[in-house]
Amino acid sequence: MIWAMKRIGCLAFLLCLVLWSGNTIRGQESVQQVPAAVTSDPSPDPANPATMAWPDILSHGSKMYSVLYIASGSGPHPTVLMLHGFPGNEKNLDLAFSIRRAGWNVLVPFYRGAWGSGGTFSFTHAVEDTQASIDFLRDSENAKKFRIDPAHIVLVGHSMGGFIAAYAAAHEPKVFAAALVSPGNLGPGSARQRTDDPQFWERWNDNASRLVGTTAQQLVQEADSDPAKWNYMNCVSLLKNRPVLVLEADDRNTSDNQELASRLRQAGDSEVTEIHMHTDHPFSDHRIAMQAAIVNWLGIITAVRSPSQGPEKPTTRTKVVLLGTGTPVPDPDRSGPATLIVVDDRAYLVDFGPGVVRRAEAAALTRGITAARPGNLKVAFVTHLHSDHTAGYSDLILTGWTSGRAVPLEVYGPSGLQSMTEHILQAYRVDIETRTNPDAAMREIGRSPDAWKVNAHEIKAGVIYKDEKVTVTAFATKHAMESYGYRFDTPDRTIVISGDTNPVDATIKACNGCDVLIHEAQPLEMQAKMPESVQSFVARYHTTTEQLAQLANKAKPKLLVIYHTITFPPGIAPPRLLPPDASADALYVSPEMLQKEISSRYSGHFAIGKDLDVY
Amino acid sequence: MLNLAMILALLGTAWITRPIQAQQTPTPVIADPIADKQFPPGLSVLTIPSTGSEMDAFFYLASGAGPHGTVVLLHGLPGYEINGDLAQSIRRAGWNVLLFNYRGTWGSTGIFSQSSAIEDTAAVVRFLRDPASIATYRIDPRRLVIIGHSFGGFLAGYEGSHDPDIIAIGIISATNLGRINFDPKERDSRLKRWQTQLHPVHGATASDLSQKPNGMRKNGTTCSGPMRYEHAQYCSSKPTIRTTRTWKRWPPHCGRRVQLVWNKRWWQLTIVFLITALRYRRS
Repeated sequence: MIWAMKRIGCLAFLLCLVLWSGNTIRGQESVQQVPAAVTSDPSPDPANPATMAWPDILSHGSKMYSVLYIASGSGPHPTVLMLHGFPGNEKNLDLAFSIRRAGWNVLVPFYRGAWGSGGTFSFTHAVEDTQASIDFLRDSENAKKFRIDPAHIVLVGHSMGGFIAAYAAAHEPKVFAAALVSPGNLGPGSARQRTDDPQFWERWNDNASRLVGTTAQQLVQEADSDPAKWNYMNCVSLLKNRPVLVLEADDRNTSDNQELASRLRQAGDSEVTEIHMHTDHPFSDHRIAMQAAIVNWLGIITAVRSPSQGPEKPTTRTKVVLLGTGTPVPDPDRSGPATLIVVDDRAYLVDFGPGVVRRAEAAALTRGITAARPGNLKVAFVTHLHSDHTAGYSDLILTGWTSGRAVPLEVYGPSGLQSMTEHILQAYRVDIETRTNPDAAMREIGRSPDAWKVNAHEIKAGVIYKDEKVTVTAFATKHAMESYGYRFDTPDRTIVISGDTNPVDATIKACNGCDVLIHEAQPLEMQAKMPESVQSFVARYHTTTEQLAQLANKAKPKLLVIYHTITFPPGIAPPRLLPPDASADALYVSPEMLQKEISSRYSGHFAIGKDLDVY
Repeated sequence: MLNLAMILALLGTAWITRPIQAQQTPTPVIADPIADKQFPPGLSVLTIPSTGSEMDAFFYLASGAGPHGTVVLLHGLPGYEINGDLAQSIRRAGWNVLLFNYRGTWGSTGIFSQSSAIEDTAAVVRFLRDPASIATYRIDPRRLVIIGHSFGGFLAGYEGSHDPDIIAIGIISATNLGRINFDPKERDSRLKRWQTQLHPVHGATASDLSQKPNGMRKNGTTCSGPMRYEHAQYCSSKPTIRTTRTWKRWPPHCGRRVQLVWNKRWWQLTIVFLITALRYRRS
């Protein structure tokens, strides 16, 4: 389900740009933003806490020991199969925890003959063991028991494990993606090292001595016996349709790794990410950077590709970018409502809740949506004049201007918009005068001295805007004041957004099989706990999950995106709203709870929107 | 957000648990160190002998010329959770960290027992004080700290109690073997647990392991001298009675209790152990 994938909050700096453009970055060590999953604990989910299991995995008659870290939340969770190196001194468990905090399960098996697992070790066995582990994760009973999403198995391998990951992913099309962390090229790499590296035998003897049933000599013979098999360049043609991360260090594998990435690109893999870090083979002084790169990459590959979209990445000209999915609740993770419809290089904003400009810049930086740069936001539509939808207005006007918007802002919305606009400009008179006088040097830095202006258009239902990219139709909705939803017809998609509203037929008509319907929803579970007055307000002016399911069953969108859900993350709820003796998280509705409420009533494709999601 | 609402007892009132404000995550937990080209950090893989057996050991070496204070990080039984993330964080804080697999576990040779693990821990400490080790791994033998989780927490307490030159110990949700060994009910329940969990432990049955080691005192450990203890405990929705009792039986002057809120990673906390240990050292 797409919702599961969208849970992975990811703030990858540049990486998205890289994926969309099919390019790679090299030597860009410090550009990765460290995601929260690497640095902080998740909010606990008491119903489904993070936990661990240690299943024995059967591989060709022997029991392999393994550790399975299970993410919090009801899942199902995408799952990483993490493969250690030869012999596995560095098991990368710090990485496993970070990946789990990002919402993934992580299975760490120990190959046969390694670390007490039964049987004997060989490279062939390690490949077989990996296939056995993949089968284990895809087994329907295990998937259920361990909250695994079998459609999203990603292999992450370090060193020899990197080779095994490449090989196993190549030969198992059900593997979604592979991250190769300084992968060793077992055949040609070891052959070269035997010549170049005087410590080769000492190293391999020591490593092999920690494994059962093999010697360095035997492993070298195995690699030599079938040079084509043990050369990961030969995996390229089988891997080229999937996302591959090649993470390089300053070590013996660098040249092979660079060649592998280059061959993947030449073979047409548009989702190769190549990152080089100036560190040693176990990434000793780049552990955080390494984890950031991998967690960011996992977020990106699952954000841009959902199972229903199949292995091809979306090629739509029109994208929906959720800049803010919040409500009046000052949730640090959800900005005020703001949605960007991007058609090629043009951006059309719907609502400007608090945080809009900073989220827009984040969309540009971390999602590669350059049309979202604040200076590029020239046209905006507002659904209604509630503060949670408009508190970013002055920011949009003024920061957009100082960020390079060269023309007045065009804004469309209900009655009262012009007055609000005039008063905001009046409120900022001192700022505007200061910036427009010659001393401010706005012109010198290429800023238009007149683009602080706003053309506010008060609208009625009907076609309200048209240019060569888009036609925008407003339809009346039912909220506590004059309010509109909007339908965007672009060259390749039809997008409908509800704003805040009670369910109305106009939304169903506007959508009528549209590509994306972005609609508010209020969880039933939460409503029951709210004071009577709030319940009554919601009943009149908002849409419950149950009502939304009914509406969506009629509107039949190809994708339903849910946003603007009132929820109070633990600790945020005002005491007056909390029922007596309630715990601090009594008014928190997790994405999983919301998902359950919708999925039990609606069988169509839907997603629980999060800030900076792109559809 | 109720994040990081760890409760930590601090300052003077050694034994009393006192809540403090949400603990700030120390930089070494979340950021890479500045690269030191001359003395980069590293990972050395060793074999440490203990009474004729060979134990696999993994030595995370801090960057910088050193000598570095060194932490022995003891895993639980059987050791599915080896706290590798904690090891990395401690190393980033400028300490070497040694992890090892007890005799008879995870491929280390020999036979595992409660007593053998106690001996193994002492053998590792001896190894760290060996002049050859000190030179090779840039160890400061005056700053040795033992941190253990679960069964390893017991060992940390035991070894720390018997070796006055260990400057601090960290005890994370520790099992009090001493008490369990003497309590038939607890022993039975442990036996049941071990029968399903001890696959990677070789050479001893769960039943063998349940026998108390010769000479072990009822409280398992003793507290002597100026030792400093830090005791971390999980507060789950069902309080872990066992560890709470352990603590209550811990001699009050031994140290301070540190309590972790449910579901929080203990590695953050352990950096605090180290900072504390350093303070003691300075004073």
